[in-house]
Amino acid sequence: MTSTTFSPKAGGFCQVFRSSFRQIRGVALLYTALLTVTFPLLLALSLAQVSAAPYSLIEERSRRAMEYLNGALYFTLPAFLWTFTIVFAVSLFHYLQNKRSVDLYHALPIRRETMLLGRVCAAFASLAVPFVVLFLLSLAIAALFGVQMQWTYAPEAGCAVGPLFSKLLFSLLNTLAFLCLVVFFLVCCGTVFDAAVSAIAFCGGLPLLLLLCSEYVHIALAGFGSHNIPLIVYELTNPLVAIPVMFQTGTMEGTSPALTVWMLIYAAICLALSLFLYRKRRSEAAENAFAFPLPRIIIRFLVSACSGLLLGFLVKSLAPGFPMPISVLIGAFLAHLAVEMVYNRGVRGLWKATPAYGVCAALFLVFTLICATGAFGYTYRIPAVDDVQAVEVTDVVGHNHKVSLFTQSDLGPNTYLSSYEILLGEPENVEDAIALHQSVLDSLRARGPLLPVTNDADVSFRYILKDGSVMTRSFSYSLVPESFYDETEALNTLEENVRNTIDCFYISADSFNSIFLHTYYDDTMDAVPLDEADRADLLQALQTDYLAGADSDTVWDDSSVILDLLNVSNLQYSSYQLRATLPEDSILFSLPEYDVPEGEPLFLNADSYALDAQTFPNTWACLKELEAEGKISFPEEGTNIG
Amino acid sequence: MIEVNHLTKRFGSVTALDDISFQVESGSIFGLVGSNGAGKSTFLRTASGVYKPDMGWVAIDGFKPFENTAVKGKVCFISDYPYFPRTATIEDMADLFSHTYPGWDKDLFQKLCACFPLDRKQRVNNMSKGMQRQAAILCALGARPTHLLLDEIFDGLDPVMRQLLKRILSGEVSERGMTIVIASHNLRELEDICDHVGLFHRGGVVFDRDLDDLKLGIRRVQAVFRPLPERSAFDCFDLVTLRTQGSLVDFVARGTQEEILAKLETLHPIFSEILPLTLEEVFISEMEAAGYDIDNILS
Repeated sequence: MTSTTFSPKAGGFCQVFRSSFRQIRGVALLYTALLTVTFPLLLALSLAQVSAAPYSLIEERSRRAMEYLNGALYFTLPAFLWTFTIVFAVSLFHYLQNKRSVDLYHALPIRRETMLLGRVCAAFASLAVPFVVLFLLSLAIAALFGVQMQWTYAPEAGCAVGPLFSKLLFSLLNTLAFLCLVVFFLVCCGTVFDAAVSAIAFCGGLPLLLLLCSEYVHIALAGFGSHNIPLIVYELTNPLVAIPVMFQTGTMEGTSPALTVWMLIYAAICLALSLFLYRKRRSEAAENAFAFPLPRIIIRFLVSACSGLLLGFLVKSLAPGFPMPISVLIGAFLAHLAVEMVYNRGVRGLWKATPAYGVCAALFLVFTLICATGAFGYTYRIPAVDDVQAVEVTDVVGHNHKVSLFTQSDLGPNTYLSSYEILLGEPENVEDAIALHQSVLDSLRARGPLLPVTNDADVSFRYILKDGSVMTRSFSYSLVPESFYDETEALNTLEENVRNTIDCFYISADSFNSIFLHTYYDDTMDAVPLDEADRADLLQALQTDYLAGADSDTVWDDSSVILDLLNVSNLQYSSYQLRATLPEDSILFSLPEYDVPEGEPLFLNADSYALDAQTFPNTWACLKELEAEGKISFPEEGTNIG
Repeated sequence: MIEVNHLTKRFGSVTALDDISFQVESGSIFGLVGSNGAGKSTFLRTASGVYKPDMGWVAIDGFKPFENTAVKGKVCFISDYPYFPRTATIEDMADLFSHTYPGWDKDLFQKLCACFPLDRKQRVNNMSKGMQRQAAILCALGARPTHLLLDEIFDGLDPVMRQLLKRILSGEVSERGMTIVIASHNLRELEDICDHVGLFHRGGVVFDRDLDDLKLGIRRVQAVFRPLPERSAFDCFDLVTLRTQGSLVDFVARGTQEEILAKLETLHPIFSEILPLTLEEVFISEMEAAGYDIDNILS
């Protein structure tokens, strides 16, 4: 017997496209009407109002157009594009979920690939064409109102077309990716209900599972601290994560090109999978729950795992003594039964998939056991002193008044570098830090072979190794020995640490031009300018006191004298934002996050110094000398004008 | 020609077609009969390329139809409940068929439209069941297929339309050599039009035979004997069934009228009569002979 396949009829694709378009033209009309209101109509009204105002400026119109179009693009993606993607996809592919319609369409001399591609193209064209045309029309309307167009964004410089087109392209590709994902589930499932449930479970379940898993590892594996999975990983899971991503980078700049390309790749993967599975799909799967078992298995796993972990965290917060793995397994089992009941439309065959649950439960317990025993030495690993370039000990309770550096680009938001609590690089100091780390590990070993599931990690040891890698181990307060706080304090007062972490060591006399002396309740006095020599003396005195072990935190009370260093001539930033100056041998240069381009200005947020004569004798004396010279005046101690 | 070779189709644990083999000659009208769930519709869907066989194959003019657009372009399938998109009119369906079936004949379609009193601009889903079936027939015939697969096509059609359809189908077979397979429970309708029939039961083919051979080669005999001969006296007949009621013997036997009469004379009946069998009676007899419980087979 000969088995031959022939090329589809030349007009097959066009016919599928045309008939599909005809099928959804009514809804497409509604979609176009809604977009028309959103884009050109409201923009025209808005610009007309601005133009009608007396002394209307082109800059104001440009700003209004830019803001409106930018906001409309954000709004349109979830409100219209995603909504109508679902409507169009279900309208065009529900034939797969109906035995009668399958009889018609699968008997037609059209290849399945052609059928699927024609319908996907019709749906996407119905979504994209009105969107693009109306967006271009909006730009044309903006131009008619005299809005200045330019390609790149600059504050107060007109309507930036480039970023808008970037977002438009992202929205289109995101819509395409979402469409292909929905089509994938419609191909995999036998009913629209199952496809909808599966798509929702997949889109919500996968990012949620990533989040919950990272949180679980964070508390189950002693030493593991970096529970913040990079956003890019969430973005990879599905197109619906794009909205928070877009809002997070919600500036007037364009969307990340990498993310835009990923949307295209995502769409291609979903489409390729849909085509492959559609060829394999049995027509008789219509009106059955699933055409292929794999999606059902994946969804069941996602929902069960998420539900189990959510219940686990809930029980842990309500009854911390209850073993979390048990509550996770109970929650997962209940969710597993619920999913089976939904997919089976009842309790029939409910227990068939129990072995699959058993396998997952066993894997989860094995994983928990691995975590509880230190994950093959992960928890107990500690670097050799010779391998360490610098070590940062982070104690979230720690002290304030630590340096917090940032850069500020003219075009973008602040880029913060780390703020440091304990930062050491000299070998003998690194050795002390490692000894502190070792004391924590000894305390863990003393607990027995199994480590408990704890709360959030509080204390972190972050080693920057000489080979450029970074090793971080974080521990909950409940796991550290009692002596830990005293030993932390010893590290905290090391001279190197004071130089590395207190902000007054990162500024020079040029960084500020005035001081502001006041009390907690009385801040009515004015800032006083000082000459360079006085500023240098004051800074020197402050640094000397800190090196001698002064701690501003211990001085704070309602009547303390508070010193602020200000740069009142700072036009771009606040008076409290001072230009930072890094010594050439600064340890910051060896830190991975210190990647500020050469010449980029570096700033810090200056904190207030609470002073008294005992704790800050040099600073106090310096200020008193300035008072004696009549250059400044002290606030009245204990003044309360509140 | 449609060749079916060890065709098996399963739906989960249910075997709808179980290793069936037969042929449908080109230019013939083949009637598929059988009980509910016998596998008639499954066979039509497999032959039209909607279903993929699990084992064996079905071939249209030597080629398998599944995902074979060239073969599907020559085959039209009208299911027992024809489907039309929600807003589709007959013109929309004609447009779809005209762009997908290579043999679409616009003139024939126009001619057929004149025969079937349907509003081509009305939504098909708003039409009655019979009218929807007519719409499906219109489009299928307009595509000028070489093979037409019809599932319960006479359901819902009024007598006039049934006659019209039979005439059109006969014309297509005689003029163009179209091969038609009709699955139906309505044996009376099939008897009028089919030249070949196949009986499906529980996924298997009980038999497939030329209708004339089937009808002419089997006779029902009613005869009165006094005294009643022994049961073994009737062994000379190729018996299908035999019943006695008092002195009346009622039996169905294979053979020509002349052969049966000659054998009957030797038994000296007081009265005898040879009756023609309807297709339904032929099937019931054959099924009984095959040992099937007829009450549960033919609905």
